[in-house]
Amino acid sequence: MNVVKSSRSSNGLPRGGTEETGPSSAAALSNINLYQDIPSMEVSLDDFEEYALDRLKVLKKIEQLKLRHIAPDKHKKLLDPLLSKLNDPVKDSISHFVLRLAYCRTEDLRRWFLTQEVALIKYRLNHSKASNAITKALESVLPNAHVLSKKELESILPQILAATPSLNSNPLTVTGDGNNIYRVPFTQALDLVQHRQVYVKAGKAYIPESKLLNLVTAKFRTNLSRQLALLSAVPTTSSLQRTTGFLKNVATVHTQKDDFLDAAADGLKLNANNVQAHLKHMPLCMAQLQVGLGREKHLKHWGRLQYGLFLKGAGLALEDALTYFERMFVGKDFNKEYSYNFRHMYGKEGKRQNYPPYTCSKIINSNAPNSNEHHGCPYKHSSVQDVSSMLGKMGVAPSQQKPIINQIKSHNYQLACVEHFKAINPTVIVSENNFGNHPNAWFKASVKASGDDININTTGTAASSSAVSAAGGDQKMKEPISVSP
Amino acid sequence: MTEVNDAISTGATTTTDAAAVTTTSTSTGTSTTTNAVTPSKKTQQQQQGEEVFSPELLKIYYDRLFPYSLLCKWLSYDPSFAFDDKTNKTVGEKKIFSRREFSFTLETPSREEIYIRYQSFSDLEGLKSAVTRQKPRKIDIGAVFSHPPKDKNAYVSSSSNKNTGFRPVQRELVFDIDLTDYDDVRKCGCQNAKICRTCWTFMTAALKVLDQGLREDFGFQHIAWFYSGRRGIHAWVCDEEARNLSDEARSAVANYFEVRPTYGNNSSGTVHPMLTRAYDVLEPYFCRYVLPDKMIGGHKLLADRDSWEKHVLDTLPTVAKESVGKRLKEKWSNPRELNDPSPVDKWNTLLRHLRVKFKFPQSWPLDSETLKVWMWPMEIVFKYTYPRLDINVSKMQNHLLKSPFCVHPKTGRVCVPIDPDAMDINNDFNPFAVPTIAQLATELNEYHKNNTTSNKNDDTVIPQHEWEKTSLKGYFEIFEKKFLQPLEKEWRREQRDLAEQQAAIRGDF
Ligand SMILES: [Zn+2]
Repeated sequence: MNVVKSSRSSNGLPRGGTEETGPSSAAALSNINLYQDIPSMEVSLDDFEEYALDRLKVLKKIEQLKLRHIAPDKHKKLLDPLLSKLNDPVKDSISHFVLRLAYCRTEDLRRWFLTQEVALIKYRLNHSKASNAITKALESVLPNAHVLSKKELESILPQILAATPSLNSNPLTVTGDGNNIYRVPFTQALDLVQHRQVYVKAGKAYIPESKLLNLVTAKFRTNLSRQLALLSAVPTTSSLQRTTGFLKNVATVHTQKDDFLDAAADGLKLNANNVQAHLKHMPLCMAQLQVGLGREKHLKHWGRLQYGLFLKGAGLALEDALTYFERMFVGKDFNKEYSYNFRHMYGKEGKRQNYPPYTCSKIINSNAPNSNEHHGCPYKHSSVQDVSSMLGKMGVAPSQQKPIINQIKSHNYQLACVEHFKAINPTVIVSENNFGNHPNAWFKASVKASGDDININTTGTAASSSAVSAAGGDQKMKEPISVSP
Repeated sequence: MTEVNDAISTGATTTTDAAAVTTTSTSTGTSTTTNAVTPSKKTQQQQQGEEVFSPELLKIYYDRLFPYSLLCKWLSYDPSFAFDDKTNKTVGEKKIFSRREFSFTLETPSREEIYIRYQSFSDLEGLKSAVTRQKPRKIDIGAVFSHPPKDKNAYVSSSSNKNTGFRPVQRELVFDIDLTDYDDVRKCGCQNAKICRTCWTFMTAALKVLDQGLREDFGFQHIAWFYSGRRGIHAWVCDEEARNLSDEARSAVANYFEVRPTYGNNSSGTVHPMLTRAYDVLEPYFCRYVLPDKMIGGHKLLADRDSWEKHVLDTLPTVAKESVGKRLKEKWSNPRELNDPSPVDKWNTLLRHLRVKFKFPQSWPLDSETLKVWMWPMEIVFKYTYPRLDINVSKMQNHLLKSPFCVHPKTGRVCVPIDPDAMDINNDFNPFAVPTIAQLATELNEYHKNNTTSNKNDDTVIPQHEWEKTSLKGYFEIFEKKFLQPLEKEWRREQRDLAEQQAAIRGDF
């Protein structure tokens, strides 16, 4: 720990930062911090970065557990080793606020951060060894919540019993903790109120203890969401300027280098974060799907199939495909609507058949796309003008397009595609490749010809640390930076 | 052409309906003064050959009768608000009032409707002069914004619209209930915009349930109810807490009151107290107005054999249909009994049979078939009488609703206040007794004819407002007494509390 100075702490954080408080498991934190108060202390840049990256690993893992449909009983084993690094309450708090700064900048980043942080709080509250963790958390976010006394409860017991289907025993006859009824303003329990899951009287909702977790997480979510929105509107102050390079990078780490946390990347070629960067190696049919996906944040059925299978063939693993498409399908309930679809493509659902990527002839002969659809072969299904303008965007100047257009006019769609390849890779010998028959062959040949080493990103750790050091500069800045967002 | 004619004859045109207008332009993001032009539809309806609505009548109403001071005092939410009739000036703060959105529906000489949003007025005089000048066919009231809506463009610049701050900041929690949503259970013969005294009782029942729920469950006290002028009612919940609710909270309150047809399959055997209370309110309405024959003002649910078999006994859960249902079908179709038990007697007999035959389950897990039987009476009573809310109107701060006190162009009737306390099972609000502007013009004339110098009496109190000379008097006075005065009392209490608080702070030093 390298905390230089700690001027104020809150929520029971230890005042001095140097003592090593180390409960064996993160879940053992007796007070779960809901980050109501901003820590005001000085931290060295090294720590600042280290804390943030440690937390990011936790959040990434949480996202993965969900995307990979890992059974909840396995979460503890996978998550706790990472989470233990945040056991120190000071580190926990600082890393949270650093990531707030990093993730407040765009709507997408805010949504991602909010989702994972809420899941983390839920996990911690559920696994806390302190039996009263949730009630303590409630007191922290909702100081006016009132526990009904026995007498108060007696007077409205029939209504409480009738209104609360989740109560399976009479709170008066069961002794001990965990059976209290809490009274809160109804506006703090909207979800329970609107589904008539609780008793509502005179503007107050009566919440059984078993439902407190919902309240705490809902309140945590609204608070954090509001804070992030406010933070995004604050111009970068000079005291933060030195750190902003790092902050930007931390946030892009998750969007661009998905698996850098898992050092044991298993030789994948494409991952969730470099698909976009490989646009230039895609044949026109796939490039138009990628562009359409970026523009519309969605692909229709045939487009998902054609592009999803292509990416699979290009080495994108299922997890990365899920991550990537969920990220791209902005505003959609991806898990509910589409994840099955992709798992199916990878042979994980349904017939469990491993579907091969489409060949050119399959694409050319499949049903033509309607408007808003981007599948198919542009040489066959689009107008010459549209193809020409697309080629221009792919870096093929109009002067180079003539051979391509000529092939289209002769209805030689695959040869048109070969001409596209030749236009951007004049030195490659066509006969050695099969790229006129298969989009994946085209892609592979283009990557090979360009000398782009796809594998560079799979050595994750190296790449991420270089990103970080680039941000922080090579010189190790030992002087403390005041973090007060 | 037939299509247009149909629309007119069924009264289904909704150009003047609050819900219809607002769904087209509710967001603040649209440009100001968007003129949504709808094709002209001839809306002057001739009722028994008498003209109930015309620009001339509307002018008389806006010039002389519209209760500007009641509306403005209410919407000021300000204890110091006063309108001095002698000087014709508003006294007091105008802060909230001046940030309120009004929108007007105007009719051009070529009979096109023009819809103007985001108007605001600094005070009563401003509103009055705009209304009398433009004579809107309809006035809608929107949210209170962060800045006066008329200056909206200054705050919403295209380049940096982020956080410049023009946004709704408060708004009454509103509810809209419309008889057209009851068409499938209106067995009186009314459809669409047509209403009668029998189906109007659905509105009364809905009002009772919602009013009680808002007061008891949510603790709201300042609720104003209005007749919409045609076929529905509106509620305006004006407590400060209600005005400050977020959109999410509005949705939650609206959803809390919404009952879907299949709520019955609950496995816990518990019924939310809100529903139990609603049942207690609604069952008498059901017995009085749904079960009996049309002749005595009912929907004849248990008044003829076809109906009681198809709409009642056959809707019983299978186990009950095959036992109790079958028995009662035989019993009630027995010619000797045919005219004997009244519909209400039949209802009570049915309930008794169900209770005797099906004991409430005593052990877990509860038998689902028996539970269904226990839930069935509530289900059928709610199907006919439970409030059917247009909840989209309630869900958003920035949603317009027709202003109270304006005139419905199709009926010429004024949107008058309704006093919930004056209604019970036997005393209904009568929408047909609400004065039309034609009638009001006549009443004004009559009054002045009868109060000429010749019969002037020293005891006569000279009315302060013209509306006191007409049948609007009763409606408006109730509104003042039952709604405005309690609201003012609350304002003064708040002010006193604030003053005391400040005094206490000063005392500390
Ligand atoms: Zn009717």
